[in-house]
Amino acid sequence: MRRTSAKRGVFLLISVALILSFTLSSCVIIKEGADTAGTVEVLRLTKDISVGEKITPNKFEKVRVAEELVWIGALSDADAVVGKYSRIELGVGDYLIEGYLSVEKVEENKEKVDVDGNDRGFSALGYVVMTDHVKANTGADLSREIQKVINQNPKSVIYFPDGEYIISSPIATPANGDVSVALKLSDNAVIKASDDWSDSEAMIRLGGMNERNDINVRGSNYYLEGGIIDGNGKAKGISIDHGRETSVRDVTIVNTSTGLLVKNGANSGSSDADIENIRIYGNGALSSVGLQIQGWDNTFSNMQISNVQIGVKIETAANLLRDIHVTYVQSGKLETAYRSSIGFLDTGDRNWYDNCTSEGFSVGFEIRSSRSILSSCVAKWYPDQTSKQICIYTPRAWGSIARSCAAYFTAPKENCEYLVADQGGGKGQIIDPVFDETRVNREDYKSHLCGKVVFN
Amino acid sequence: MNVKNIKITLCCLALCILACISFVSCDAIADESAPEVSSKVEVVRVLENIDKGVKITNAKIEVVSVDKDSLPPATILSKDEVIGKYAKIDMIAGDYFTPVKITDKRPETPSADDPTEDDGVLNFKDAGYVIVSDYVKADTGTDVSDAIQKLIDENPNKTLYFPDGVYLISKPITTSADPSKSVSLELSNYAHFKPTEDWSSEEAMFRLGATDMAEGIVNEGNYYSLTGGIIDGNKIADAISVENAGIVSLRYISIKGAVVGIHVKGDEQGRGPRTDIHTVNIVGSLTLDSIGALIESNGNTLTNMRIASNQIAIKLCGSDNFLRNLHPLYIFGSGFSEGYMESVAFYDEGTRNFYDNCYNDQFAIGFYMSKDTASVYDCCFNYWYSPNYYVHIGFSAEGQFNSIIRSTSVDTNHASSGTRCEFLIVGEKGGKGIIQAVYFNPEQVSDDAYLDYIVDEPIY
Repeated sequence: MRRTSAKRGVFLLISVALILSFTLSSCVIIKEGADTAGTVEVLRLTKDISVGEKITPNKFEKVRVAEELVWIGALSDADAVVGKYSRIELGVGDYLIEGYLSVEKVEENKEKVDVDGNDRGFSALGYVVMTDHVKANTGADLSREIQKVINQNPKSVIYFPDGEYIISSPIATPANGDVSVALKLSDNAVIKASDDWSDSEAMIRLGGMNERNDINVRGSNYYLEGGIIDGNGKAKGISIDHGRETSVRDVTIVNTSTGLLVKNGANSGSSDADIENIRIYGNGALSSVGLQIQGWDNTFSNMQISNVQIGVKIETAANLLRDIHVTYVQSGKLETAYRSSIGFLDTGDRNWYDNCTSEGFSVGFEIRSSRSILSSCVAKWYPDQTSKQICIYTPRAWGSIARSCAAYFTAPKENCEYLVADQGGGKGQIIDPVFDETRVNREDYKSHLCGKVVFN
Repeated sequence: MNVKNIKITLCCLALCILACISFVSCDAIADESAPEVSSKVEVVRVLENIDKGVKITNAKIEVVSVDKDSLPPATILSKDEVIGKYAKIDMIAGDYFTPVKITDKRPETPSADDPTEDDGVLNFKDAGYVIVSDYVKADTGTDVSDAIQKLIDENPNKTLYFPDGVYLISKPITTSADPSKSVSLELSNYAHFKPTEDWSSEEAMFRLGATDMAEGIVNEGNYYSLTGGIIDGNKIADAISVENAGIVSLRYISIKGAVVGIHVKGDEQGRGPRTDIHTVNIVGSLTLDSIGALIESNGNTLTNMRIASNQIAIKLCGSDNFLRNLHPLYIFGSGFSEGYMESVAFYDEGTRNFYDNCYNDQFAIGFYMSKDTASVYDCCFNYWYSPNYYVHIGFSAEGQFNSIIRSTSVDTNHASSGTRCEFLIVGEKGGKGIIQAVYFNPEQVSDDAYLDYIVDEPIY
């Protein structure tokens, strides 16, 4: 009896202790929650770590940082990393994610994750085949699963077979060449934003994690190739966030608010990105942009852009645009929308345009600064467009070169201009333009004319 | 408490037993309820998937008894008629055999000693690929030069695919220029070729068309390529050379640490292979003898390239080459920048070369022209981001100036720092060159050589 009573006493004590601790811990959680909203705890390296080096407690710290700054998949549990070995070279300030660590010590040059042993089809090429890890065509959100595959397969080509992959939050790839990945999408692999997408960042953020600015690293050249990126009417498509010499090629981007965004680059603003063979069909909203360039020293070749309010928006310098065709989609748009539409809007300077065509936008080329070159460019309009049609507009004096650039007007004469320069003067040149002089009103072009106006 | 646990355990056990009994009973019921087969026949069918080209063995098939009426026409019944033959198409478990699905003769395989004959044929093999990892292991830290060379030599007119991984080589890999023996090499983005520490060859790591001198452009085998991957000279080796003959394509390649990134060889008349180089990025060895691309033959095209850490980014010795969207970047380095004053982005020893949108980023001299050069520079760009060494020259002619410079910019972001920034300097006055529609600040220029050639005012 006494033993039973003692047991009951112990039970009672434990219960009280449990209730108390639960209550107290709840209070702590609430208190912490109040102080740490929007932040998370993660492990961050305090020392450089080489390939194969063991992770010990004195090499990292636990810190609380803003959620948006943390790499996706960053670990917070010290027990999950202590005693493991680094598969790659890491530096002070790097976060630890599962894909970087190995239970067994790895030798340099053996750091690659083993791909699915079932070597068939694309995995025979050494690709990490996404459908070996996630199920496409299910309608389910695959953001986290896809991100996990990226994080766990550094220095791999990740292949997306045909199918639909829904994501509700951005997918980021590492900028650091030591852990970068290349994304290769089959022609009918569709990565689509979910119906409840609300993120202001793009769906695919190349170099969106593990920032690094070093072209010497073997693996610094990575790419996104192929497939369809579907913004579902609300999301931005692709952004180049960090890293250098990123390549995006042969991609179709549809239903996006901004199709492709090149952010201010890692190398003192230079992004050094090379973009080619891209098709963009925007969401047609008044704020929609096809291609937005915020970094320097990029090249863009062979692009078709349509259903956007502004085809290409350039905010920096030393970019090259070659064979870019932007098309305004008029169906369902208000006249006021048309009047503010711009094919190419350049708020930077010293950008080179070669064989770029604006079709159906009210203003073909708005060059706000100077020292750009337009070579063999075209502005043209549809037969049923009768409102404002301006081939080249600058709010300043004309200080750029337009060489052999053509305009084909369709509106009545009072609405058509080849060059509108809001300020007089400027040393810019209009060389051998191609347009019907009887169709325009202003004579701004005449004071810059070199050669002659050509028209049949 | 103990008794209660025992009771719960027993209940669980009972439920499990009940489930098993139900399962077995259902099967039994199903069997019993199956309609009786009136005319059954024994037939051979696929037991485990057999891919196209794979030999049919006893282990891959089974003999089953099925309703005769359910068989497709011309179904082969006897297993003796299929064993030892080869699948003409991919077959999956449960498939029946018909004469059109099998063949007596083994389809041609990529190599005589195919190690994967029976372990599942790969789709890319069907497309003619030789997948190198089937024969050579990467990431081992050992020299694989000989193994790769053997594979190339044994697979004429094939595409060899190198999956991701590090491939160490101690000597150059060579391919043949003979159209009947040439190969194309395709590297995955992280297929990383690296020289061993004892690398001593003066030749490049990849020598394309280096053996079996051949001429002509008629045969399919004259056209071959190297695509993708990382070619890492590790500051001791040249990366790629294109040698005897062929119409050669180099594309999507990341060259790192190479003393010479790409060397297209040619004789004094510029005879040699024609190479189209597209989307190739080069980081040099940061040594005074480093050259990004050395082009000795005539008629090559170079498009979309970024070249850094070299003393000379592009050197042309031949003529009629076309360069578009090339961006050389000078990078300062200790023990290297002492040679800055002689650094050149585009060094033209030939003539009639066409530069379109070529962008010198910080080299002391943007475009150098030899005495014989008469080339065209259109929409090019010179920019100096650092005032280091204080001399920046857009165009430098060794002798008289005989080229065309059009719509081109010479500019710096430190105009007020006292830096000398010249548009053009010439070795000798005269020449028939033309400068037209260019951007530069005349007040920043101390050499007025440009005045003899310019047809309009510079824009600034």
